[in-house]
Amino acid sequence: MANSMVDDRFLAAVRPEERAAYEKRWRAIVNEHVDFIWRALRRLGVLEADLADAAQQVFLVMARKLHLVHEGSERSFLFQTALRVASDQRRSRTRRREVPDDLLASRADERPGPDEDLEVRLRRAKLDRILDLMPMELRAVFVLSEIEELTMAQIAELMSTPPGTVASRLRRARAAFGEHVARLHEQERQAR
Amino acid sequence: MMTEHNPLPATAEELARSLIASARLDAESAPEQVRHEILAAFSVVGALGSGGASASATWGALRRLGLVKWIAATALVGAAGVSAYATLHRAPSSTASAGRTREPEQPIAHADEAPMAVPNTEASAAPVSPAREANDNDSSVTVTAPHHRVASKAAEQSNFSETSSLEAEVAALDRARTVLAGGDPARALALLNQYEQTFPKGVLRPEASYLRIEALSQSGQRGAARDLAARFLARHPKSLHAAQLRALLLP
Repeated sequence: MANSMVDDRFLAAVRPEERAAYEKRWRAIVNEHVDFIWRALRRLGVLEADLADAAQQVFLVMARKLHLVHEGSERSFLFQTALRVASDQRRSRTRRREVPDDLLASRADERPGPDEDLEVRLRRAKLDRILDLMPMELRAVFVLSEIEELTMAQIAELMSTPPGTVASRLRRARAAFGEHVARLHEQERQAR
Repeated sequence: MMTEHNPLPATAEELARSLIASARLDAESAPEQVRHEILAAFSVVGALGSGGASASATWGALRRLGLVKWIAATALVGAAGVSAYATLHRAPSSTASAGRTREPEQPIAHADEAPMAVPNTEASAAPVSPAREANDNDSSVTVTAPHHRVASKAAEQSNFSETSSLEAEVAALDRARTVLAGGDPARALALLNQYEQTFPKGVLRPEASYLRIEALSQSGQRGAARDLAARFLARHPKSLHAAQLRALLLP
């Protein structure tokens, strides 16, 4: 469909008197969503050292497609792009090295920062290790539900996925998470 | 490694809760620098056209050069950014493959202010392939039919007449940087002279100045390097190169 509304808006956007509005929209989008995307990328497994690049990459896609993205769909567009960026990174990372099975080992980039509670930091590192073991589509649903505390309907919208699919993924994600945590718990008990 | 204030969770369920809680505590925001870079990215994309392999390649080059940060540090978002939208009309955007169509070089507006520069820290900078990322499975994205070109009209309205191509500028500086990194400062200086002749009003001139300082320094012309560094710092005290340059000025 030729979607004249989007077209019109796009054409309007390049008229000089409309450029300011176009840029204003961009600034509003970045300011509203950058923190969410930052957190999402992190919990989707992007390494700390790569976060800035990944976030830029996500928003660059947005910048180039701005005229195609409906108002109100920005967050969804950004999240799905973030999901793809995180998946690509993960693929190239697993190509480079095997993910060790030892849940107690901490990732090199998850060493405690100076001003952060060591305990919290360690737990987060373990969480990330467990999430690393989950397939991306389960991980995404799990993170949005359990950490971002979104509703099933919000997740469905964000991922452009039917609610039923979200529900079944979430069930599987919780089961997988539970298994990994049980294993970690056992490892920690033995290490004590 | 666990402390007595935080004993090990007694059950796996407790452990699961504590792991999730640790992430909820991590409600951090994106760093300001990242926010600025992202805001600036739009002006670059706009300036380069919103589709096109060349835009993508140039963005990659910008990132390699560390110029994304530099652009973020300038007022480009306001100055060139606004006029850059005039080139958005070039976007074909008709299909998911729009991003791969070859676009002609896009002009970019000059920033009136001599901008600040940044160090070349972005060594990796994987090239971006946005069209693929954006469109493959995105039902939230509306894909338009091919639309009319409004190029000529918009081009008339924008006064890019005497502007240079950012891509060409980037390429020229990239060459100089490569030569310099290869240990040939004399050749780098020649390339920088060439750059400055070709782009007397180039938007990347501060970056060129910074490269010149490095090249002078490398070729043993410490005095000239320090003079230029002092002038650079006077003009761009907040440059992200500043720390390095101040170090150069130390006795």
